[in-house]
Amino acid sequence: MGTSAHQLEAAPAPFRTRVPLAFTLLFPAFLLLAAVLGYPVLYSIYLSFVNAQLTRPNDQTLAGLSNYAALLDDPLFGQALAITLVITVGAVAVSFVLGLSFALLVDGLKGRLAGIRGLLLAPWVTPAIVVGFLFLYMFDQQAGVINLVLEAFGATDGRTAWLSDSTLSVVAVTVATIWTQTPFYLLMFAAALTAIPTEQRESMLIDGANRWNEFVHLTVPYLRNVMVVATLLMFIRNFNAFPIIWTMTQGGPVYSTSTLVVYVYRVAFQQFDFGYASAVGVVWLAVLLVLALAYVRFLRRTSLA
Amino acid sequence: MPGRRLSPLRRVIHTALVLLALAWSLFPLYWMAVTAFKRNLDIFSFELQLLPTTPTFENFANLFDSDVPVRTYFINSVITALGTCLVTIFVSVLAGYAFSRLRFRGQRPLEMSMLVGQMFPLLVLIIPLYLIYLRAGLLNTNAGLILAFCSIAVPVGVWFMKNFIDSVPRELDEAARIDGCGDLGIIRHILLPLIGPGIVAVGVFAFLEAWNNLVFPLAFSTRPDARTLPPGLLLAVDSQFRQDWGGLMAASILASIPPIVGFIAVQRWILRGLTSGALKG
Repeated sequence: MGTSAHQLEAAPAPFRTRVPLAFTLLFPAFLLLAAVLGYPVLYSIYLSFVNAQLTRPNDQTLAGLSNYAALLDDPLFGQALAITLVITVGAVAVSFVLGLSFALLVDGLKGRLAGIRGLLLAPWVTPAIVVGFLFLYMFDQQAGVINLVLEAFGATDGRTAWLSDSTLSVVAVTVATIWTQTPFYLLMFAAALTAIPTEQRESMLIDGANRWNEFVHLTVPYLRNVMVVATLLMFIRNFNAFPIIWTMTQGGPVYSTSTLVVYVYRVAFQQFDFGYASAVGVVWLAVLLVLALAYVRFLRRTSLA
Repeated sequence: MPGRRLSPLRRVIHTALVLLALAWSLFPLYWMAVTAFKRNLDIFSFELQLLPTTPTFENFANLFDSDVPVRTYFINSVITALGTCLVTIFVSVLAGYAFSRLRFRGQRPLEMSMLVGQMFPLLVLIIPLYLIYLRAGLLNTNAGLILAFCSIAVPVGVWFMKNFIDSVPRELDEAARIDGCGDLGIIRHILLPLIGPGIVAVGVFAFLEAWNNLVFPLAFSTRPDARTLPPGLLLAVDSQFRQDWGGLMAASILASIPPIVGFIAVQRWILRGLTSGALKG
């Protein structure tokens, strides 16, 4: 941060150890989070062991492990897992490459051209639901601009039913996700690129390195930590992604774009099976917790180094 | 890479690639804006019209006098977003001060819980929260939505505030303490003026998280008059906006205005917080 240099110069003042005060100041935040995060999580674990139907909220009987046993026999659960991985890996890989390319393209643009960086961030600022509407419209069979353009180039007959085809609908929601997430990588990489010392770059060029050498031996090592951090974050975010998919396809046609979170929502609020939905949710929670801990550990390691 | 001398050919290629990146990023938004000003007739003309042949404002005018209570959705969105914003600022400043300036037992795990809390799957929360809200009478209320939105905004807000207060030299509060200031006095008189930009950034972030959220109001607001814009518009896609792309794009522009204005206002701080939070931990 900007003032850290100042802090280094002056001898640091002692920190104050006052437990009651810390408790008072933290109380509002933790009370709130206990109510809307902590308690619901515990309640969710409980629900995964009972038969709970939304239509009969007060009629809950213990079900033991039967909700979890049902997971193993549920082909839709496996399918949801596979779709989540396909969309996430596709979106993360393409956004990564595009974001890195954009960052290299705008690196060093100065003066009025620096504004280009801001313009490239626009998709990131667009609300997810608007992204969904936008791509719902652009992929529309009749009025969608994508079919119009493809037809103009003679690539298709212009009647591709993107969102009602089980494979093409996955492509469509992945494209929308890539569009809105690319600026996140651009942002992370652009910031990291400015940290590369110019002297080092210049000395490499004097030694006769070409651009490719420079990229592989200088840029990539400098960006490595950011690459890991951004990718972990994006995996977590995509594993939780809901609004774009829900807006464009509501998980359909049938279950072909139902990622795990979409599947949880459908089981809970369309089939009203809160117990089973909670079991799916708890499994997913465990997966995300592992990812989150990996992320935190990585941050701690790199900030200590 | 630019910034050093490029051969003419490379310069042309570089410019072309930048233009391509701009087209990819901006065309969908341009298309949204253009469609909002087109007549339905032109939208279904099956030819590429890059500009509306007969520009019209009717899509925007229809928005506020249709069967869909867009006005109600809009008001609910503003109330819940402002509420989330105020609650988040209040608890984040207090907790951020404790994490930044005090040392106490269990601090590290509590701080880490804020980081882990940021990655929480919302979808898992809606099932238990729905039942809790059902019993507490919080379904279809703005207060219920504000509480739920805080589950996303508060962990990020606290973390951001801690980092922001870390950047204010501690000598300043020590000097105030010698002059007889208590902790709350330090927060009020020394920190608040200095962390103003951080407060704005946290506030805008919380506002936008609430404004953009679809899941919670979709599940918790079953009555039309309790809906916010995202679920309201989404449900209208199947009725009012069916095949009315102009109307839907006009509504999308309405929903995008606060995020764009907010982002432009605080982009410096958001970008700084995002990168320093991620890189420095």
